[in-house]
Amino acid sequence: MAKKLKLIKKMAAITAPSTLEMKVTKTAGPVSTAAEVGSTGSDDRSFTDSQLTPGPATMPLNPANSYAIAWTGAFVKAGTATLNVRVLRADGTVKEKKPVRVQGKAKEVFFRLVLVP
Amino acid sequence: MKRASFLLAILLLARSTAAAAQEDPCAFDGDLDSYLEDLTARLSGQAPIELPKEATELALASRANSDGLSGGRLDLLRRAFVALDLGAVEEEEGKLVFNFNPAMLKLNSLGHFSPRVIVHEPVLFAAVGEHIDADDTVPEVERTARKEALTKGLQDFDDTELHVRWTNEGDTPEAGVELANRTFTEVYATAGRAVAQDIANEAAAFNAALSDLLKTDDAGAVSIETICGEDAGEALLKELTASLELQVPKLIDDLREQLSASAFFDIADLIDGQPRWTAESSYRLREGAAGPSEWSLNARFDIGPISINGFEKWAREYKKQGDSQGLREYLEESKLRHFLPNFSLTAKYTKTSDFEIAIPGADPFTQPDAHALSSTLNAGCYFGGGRDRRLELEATYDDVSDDPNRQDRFVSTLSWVETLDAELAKLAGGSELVVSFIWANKPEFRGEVDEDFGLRAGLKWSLGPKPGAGN
Repeated sequence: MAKKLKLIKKMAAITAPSTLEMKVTKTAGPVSTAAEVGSTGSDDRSFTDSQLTPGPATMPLNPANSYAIAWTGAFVKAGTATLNVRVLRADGTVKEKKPVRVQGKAKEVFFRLVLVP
Repeated sequence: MKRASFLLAILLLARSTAAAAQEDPCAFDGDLDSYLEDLTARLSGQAPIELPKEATELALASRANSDGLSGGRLDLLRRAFVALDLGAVEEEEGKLVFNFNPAMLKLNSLGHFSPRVIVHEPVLFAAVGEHIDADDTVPEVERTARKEALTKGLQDFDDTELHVRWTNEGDTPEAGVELANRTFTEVYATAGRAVAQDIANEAAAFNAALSDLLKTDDAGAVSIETICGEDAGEALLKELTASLELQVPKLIDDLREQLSASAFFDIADLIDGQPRWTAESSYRLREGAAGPSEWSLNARFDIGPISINGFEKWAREYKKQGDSQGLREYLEESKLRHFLPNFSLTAKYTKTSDFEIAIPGADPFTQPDAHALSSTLNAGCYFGGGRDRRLELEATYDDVSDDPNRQDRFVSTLSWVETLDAELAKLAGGSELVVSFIWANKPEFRGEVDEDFGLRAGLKWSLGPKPGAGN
């Protein structure tokens, strides 16, 4: 019985969904951004600036799919914007984190691509 | 003609081949995440930036084995500040700046406060050093010994400054941020989202294929060298790169064009025109040979013809929407929009306490108290259409008790600033031509000019970069 329970726990850990979490922090600006999460499945998602800043904007990750984030933004005035990406395990611990920072001048438009581990 | 076309084709082919060779993704030194960041930054016309270490790491990785600001008590204070999450610590040349977290103060209704404490590296007060050096009846060795004796007596907190800055609006008004986000969301929905989603899906497929090939769950952490070591990996990488090089610049151009048309970037003028009060107060406490204590108060008011407040008031009055359509109408109706006059008034008062210090083997050094009052009016506007030509007025009044060159001093300068185009700037050796008319209330305050108009007035011209270009 104990062996069976151990196996069930192990299977749960492998197949349990993780969560994608995104937060945007900014200095100066204003700078406005948006994020598209692309998937090999049918669970694409879009996130607006108000969802990302201060966030966190979250979505479940299907272990059968792969994901990537397209982050786009524009600067009204000079400043910086940082996208903090975290992948959380089912138990809430951090599996991976990736920050991406953009420094821009007035009237600059940017695009960044982040692969989700 | 045929020969010319043939030669041109060869030339274009050679250039594109050279360009392709330069952009070979397999030549990149780093992991896939870094490569994608570098590539997309380049396609966006920007340089990728490396994130600094966390403030905690920087604060704790102190120069423990060197002289300077990492004394025992100071280091302890720095660690406690960071550990208690009171704000951020920045180490600049010769000082440690403790920026308190303004969110802690929760005084949103009273404006925006930015308090900080600056611990300066205490040094011998310059006037004391000059006083000792001026005594040439004493051998240099003795003068140096006197200065060293005074410097040795200085301790960690002998030069500490408390500084508070307040604005009624904040440098980036909330209303401006909201207007920008609303406008961006509106434009992005039609001019960017679909393409960005396609790119994200393509990258997700790439992620899946590469992860399968390399048997990893984090393809981003794999080096480019490893990826290109597999023929299939190299092919996948080159395919994604080619796709990004095709799609990203077009996405950026389309989005920029639509954002311009929706007046998104014009929000900067509304923010700059926002009526804003700013006050800064500082008290610098010095002990021992560090010098006299000093306190100062600085107040400033800025206003322009178009502003966030102006837009909101106009929208209420004419029952218009606060969206990009409404913003465009407001800007079109504003008669002063093309001139964009703006005004600022600044007043500053500084009081320095009297100071006395005993000098080993010599008479004490004394310095009486002093005060300084200064106020400046700035006004400017564009003219002639566009933003290449500007008139700027600056009028300053100073009264500094211990500086004869700045007592009851009034100087006004009216400048014509012409921004030169790139070719002319290269020829002329500067991007701006500035011609100024100067008037002072006393001849000695006028300064050097290129053309005299009497003792108090003159004309001056210069070539240089835009003001604040280095900011």
